Amino acid sequence: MEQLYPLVFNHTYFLTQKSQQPQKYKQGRVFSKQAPTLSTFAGAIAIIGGIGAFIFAMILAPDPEESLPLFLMLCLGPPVGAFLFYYLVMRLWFLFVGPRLGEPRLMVSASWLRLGDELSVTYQQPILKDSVLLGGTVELIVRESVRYTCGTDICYAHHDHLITSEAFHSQSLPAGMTLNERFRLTIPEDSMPTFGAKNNKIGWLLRITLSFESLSKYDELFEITVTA
Amino acid sequence: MTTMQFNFRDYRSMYDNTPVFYPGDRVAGQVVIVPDQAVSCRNIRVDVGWYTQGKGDRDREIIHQYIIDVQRLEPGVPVSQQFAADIPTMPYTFSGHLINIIWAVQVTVDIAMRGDINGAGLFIVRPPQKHGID
Repeated sequence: MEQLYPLVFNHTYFLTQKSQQPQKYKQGRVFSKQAPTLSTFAGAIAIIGGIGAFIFAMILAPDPEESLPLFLMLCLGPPVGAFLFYYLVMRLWFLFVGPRLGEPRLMVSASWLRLGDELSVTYQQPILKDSVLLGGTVELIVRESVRYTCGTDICYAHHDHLITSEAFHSQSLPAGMTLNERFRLTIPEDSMPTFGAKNNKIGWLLRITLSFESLSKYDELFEITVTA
Repeated sequence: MTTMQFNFRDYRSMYDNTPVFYPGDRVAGQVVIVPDQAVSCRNIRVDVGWYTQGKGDRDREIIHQYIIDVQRLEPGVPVSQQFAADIPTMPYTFSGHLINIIWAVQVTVDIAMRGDINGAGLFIVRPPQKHGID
C-alpha cells in the first residue's frame, strides 16, 4: 500500500492570488498568500453586536414580571437578528464574492526520492461553485539557482529544465464535486540529484498550474529532494 | 611555459578523452610538472576536488590536498606527485545552463608577489548506468 503524504495548501483560493517568489518555497510544504476571508469579520461583528444588543435590551426592558414576552423579545431578538444578519451576509458574500474553489490538497508519494524512482502525485480540489477547468499541468522541473555578485550587490538568477509534464484535461466541474487527479512522474536515472552549495543550487520542483475560467492562473511550486 | 601532465589510474571509462569515475571510487594517479625556465616559488599545491563554474559566484570543495615543499623549480627538471582521493557520493559532474560542476586535480605553483602558475586535470564523476553499457 502506497503511503501518501498530504500537503494542505495554506490558503483559500481567491481571485487575487499572487505568484510566489522563487526563494519562498520550502521543503515539504507549498506556500501561498493567505487570502482574506469575510467570515472572521462577520463573525466578530455578529458576536459584538449581539452582546451590545443584549446589554441595550437589559437597560431598556421593562420589568420582566410585567411583560415577560416583551422582555424576552428585547433580550433574545437582537442576538438572533445579528446571527441571521451574519448568515445573510455570508450567503450573499458566498454567492457574489466568495471563492469558487475550496482548499486544494496535494499529496505526493514521497518528498525524498532517488534517481529512477517514480513519484505519485494526487491533486484534490473541492469545487464550491460550478466551474470550468480550462487546463493545467503537473511538471517535474530541475531548477538551477545561482547567487552572484553584481557590483556591490548580490543578485540571483535561476533557470528551469522541464523534465516531464502531465496535463489536466479541460472539463466542467459542478458544485459539490471534488476534482481528483493522479499522476505518475519518473525521476530519470541519469539526472543530477539535489545539490546545494553556498552560491549554486540544483533543486527539484513539482509545479502545478491550473487555469479555471474567470479565475487567475493557479501556479504552485513544491520542492522535493532527490538523492543519488 | 610550464607543462603539467596528469596520469589517472583505474578509471571506469573515457569520455571525450576525460577519465570517468563513479561516486565511491578512488581517483588516483600522478601529476608531473616540468618547467621550461627556473621558477622560485613558496610551494606547489595539488588539490583534488570540485568547483563550480558559470554565472554564480564560485563554490569549491577540496577532497584531498597535497603540498609539495619545494622552493625552486629548475628548467627541464620534472617534479611529480602521486595523488589519491576517495570520491564522495555527491556532487556529480554537471553541465547546465547557469552552473557547471567540474571535478579536477588542480595544481597551483604558489609564487610570491607574482601570478601563480595553475593547471588542472579534469575528470568526470557520474553514477553507474543501471540499464546502460559503460
